[in-house]
Amino acid sequence: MESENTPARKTLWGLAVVAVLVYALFPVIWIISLSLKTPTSIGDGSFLPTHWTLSNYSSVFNTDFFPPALRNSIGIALITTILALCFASAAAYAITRLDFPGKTLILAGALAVTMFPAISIVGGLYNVWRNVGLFDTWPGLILPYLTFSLPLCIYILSAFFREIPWDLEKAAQMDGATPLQAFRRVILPLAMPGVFTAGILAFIAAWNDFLYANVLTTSNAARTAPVAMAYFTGASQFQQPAGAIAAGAVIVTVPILIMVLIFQRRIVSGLTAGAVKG
Amino acid sequence: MADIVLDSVVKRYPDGFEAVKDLNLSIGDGEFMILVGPSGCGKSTALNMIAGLEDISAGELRIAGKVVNQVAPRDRDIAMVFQSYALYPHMTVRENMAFALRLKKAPKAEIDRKVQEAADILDLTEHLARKPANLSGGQRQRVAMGRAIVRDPKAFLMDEPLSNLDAKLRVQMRAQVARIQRRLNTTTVYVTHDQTEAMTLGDRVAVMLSGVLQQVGSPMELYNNPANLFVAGFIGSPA
Amino acid sequence: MATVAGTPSAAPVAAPPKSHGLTERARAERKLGLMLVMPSVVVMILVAGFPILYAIWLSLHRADLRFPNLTAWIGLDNYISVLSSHTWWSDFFNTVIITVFSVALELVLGLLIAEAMYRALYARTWVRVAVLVPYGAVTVVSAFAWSLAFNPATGFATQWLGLSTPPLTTRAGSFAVIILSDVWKTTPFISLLMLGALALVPEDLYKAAKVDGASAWQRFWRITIPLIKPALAVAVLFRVLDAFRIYDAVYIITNGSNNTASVSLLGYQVLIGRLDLGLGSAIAVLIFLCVCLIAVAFFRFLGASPQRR
Repeated sequence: MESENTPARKTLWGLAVVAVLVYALFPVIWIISLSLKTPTSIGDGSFLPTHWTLSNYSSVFNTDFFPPALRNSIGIALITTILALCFASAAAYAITRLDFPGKTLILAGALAVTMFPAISIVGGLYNVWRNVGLFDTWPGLILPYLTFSLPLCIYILSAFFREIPWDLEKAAQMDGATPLQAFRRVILPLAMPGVFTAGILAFIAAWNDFLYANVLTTSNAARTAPVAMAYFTGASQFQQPAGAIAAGAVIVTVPILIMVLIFQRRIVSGLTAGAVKG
Repeated sequence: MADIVLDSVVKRYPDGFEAVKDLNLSIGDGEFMILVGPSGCGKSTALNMIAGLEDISAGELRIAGKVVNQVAPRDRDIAMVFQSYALYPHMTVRENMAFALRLKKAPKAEIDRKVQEAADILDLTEHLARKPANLSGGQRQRVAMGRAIVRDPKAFLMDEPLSNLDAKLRVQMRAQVARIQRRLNTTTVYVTHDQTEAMTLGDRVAVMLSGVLQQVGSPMELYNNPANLFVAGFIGSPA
Repeated sequence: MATVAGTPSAAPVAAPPKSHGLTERARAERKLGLMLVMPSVVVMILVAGFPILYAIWLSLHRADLRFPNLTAWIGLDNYISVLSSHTWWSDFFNTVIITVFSVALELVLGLLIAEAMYRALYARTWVRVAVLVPYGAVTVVSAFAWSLAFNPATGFATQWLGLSTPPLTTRAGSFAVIILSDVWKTTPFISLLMLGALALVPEDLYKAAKVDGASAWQRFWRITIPLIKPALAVAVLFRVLDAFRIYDAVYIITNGSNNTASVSLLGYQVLIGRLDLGLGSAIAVLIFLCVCLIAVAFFRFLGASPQRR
């Protein structure tokens, strides 16, 4: 479209860019603003705070359920990510490099599993977990989280592994490497960007979950941050829970946002590699 | 250093297609053997079978007298130079050349010495710390050869190593390859589709067509006494 | 294919039959491959496959955790109760409304944003940032943000838009807030997919069309849309499946009040709220079947295939 870049068009698309920026940042700025409002000014109907304070943040950290929830979220999401990456790397390597029956079935199955409604899975798990002692525990959440993080990682890693030339492995074989050595010293270093990307996306997905955590936890032992946020409405010690909710929301989401912004190129390539290339 | 013998070797794919049919070829110790023929004639497949990168459907492959059909590539003590060079992009030239020796857990002093020797032969000394992405095509090709030389293997296998170079470079590298082989006296099997390379490089040339060996002999033998019309037409011009 | 002449039975190195013709190396490769995928397959069967089967089993029984002694096989009775219940169909209708409006809005907005990103010669990074922020926002946070914005006691939106009745007190208004929250969060993902597809349309086609006299609108409809159809179809499929399963936003924004509950929320209320595992599992299985039907419908009628290699 080089021939069409008249100043008029440029300003038009420039405005579009600004519009997109406003669209994206609007609710985020709103929730930050709300979290900074003093309890008395919460109801004043303004977008930006007229009087502001950090007391909402301190009160949030002073509750007995929010800090443990944060710990749970971080721990569970991290472990889920690491497990998913380990299993998925092995599977993706096998699928892209080795010849064995059932490959398409496994890929199709993985895709199908991501489409299962969480509510359909969680009912059975609720009962079984209670009987097996996994209710309200970290493993009790990590296992269901693998239903969406494993297929996600398998797809992204497969796309990245496919990009690595076959010749490199042949060369490594000739150089005397066992398959494991070839994987560790040649494939893995080259696939690192993919592993990193898959890890970030899996972490975000695990951090984001609400349904599984809501059903399968009940105490500070394993309740995650998104669920804890829903608890603020029940807390009676705050006069205006909205401010506390907003502070909680900011704490829960801003670290992810920062991570997303730092790794934006990787994430975009991961999302498009996993999705478009199928 | 070893001799390589292909005894009635066949490569048959699961769908029944035979890429190599009943190949009988003896490559002497220290000999420079060229496999030449049009695309699809089976020369690369034969090379891959010697390397162990493809399974042998029937027949025997003997290296230094031992049957190696079931031996994994890493245990055959053969080095291969790939058409695409297959240099490890995340390693420097030095690390690329040292890789095989590090896998064998050779002492560091020995690794350094061998890498330096190979670098001297191939004129790569000032490039040792660079990564493949920053090298020219000719330099990459030399690193690929350096990787093979460093291992001091029983044989060199080369799969069209010069076809990605421009014409002038190809002529230079041809001379260098010949010189290196004579100096090291390592058995070499070299695959090419270029008959000029075949005629100028090899001690003996094996011409293949559709998986069948047409004739094997010294370049002059093939030129003066072609066994059939195809060999006659393939070697020399008019081609 | 040249065959070895002579008596077939006498050939010592005769070709073994195809399926057993695996060399030792090929067999080792197969074993390694299966071993490497086994953990993933086992985990997926265990935590995804097994619970579904268990849910089906539960749904065929009367299984109420409040009266565990009364557990008994009742066949399809749970399903009959659900399918003849007004609540189920009302919530099904709600889910359809949310799905249709959300996906439609996301598609239109997503395409527009994708075009903007495609044409933006400068500020590419800013646009990419903008697109990823909603992706990084936790769903629950997005739901809270929109909910609090439209709540007159805490927010500004009701006053800004000059609305006389707060949206969260009416059914349509509640739908609107839920849909807005979902659209805000997922449109960027759609626009990323669309951007990838737009980039694949060759510039030359547009030039040729211009020479042939096509207007911008015609170029969009006759060239762009048909060529990005596969990506569009995939995006629509995934979004429809996701929207149908909506839970987080509905729970946070209305928790089902104003008759806005989605089927997933209904399942939650019955399963966990009333601890009626039998009935709740029937709902869960029905939702699963709906999702399957949607997917099958897509594959059949629109030829969408996410398994492109």
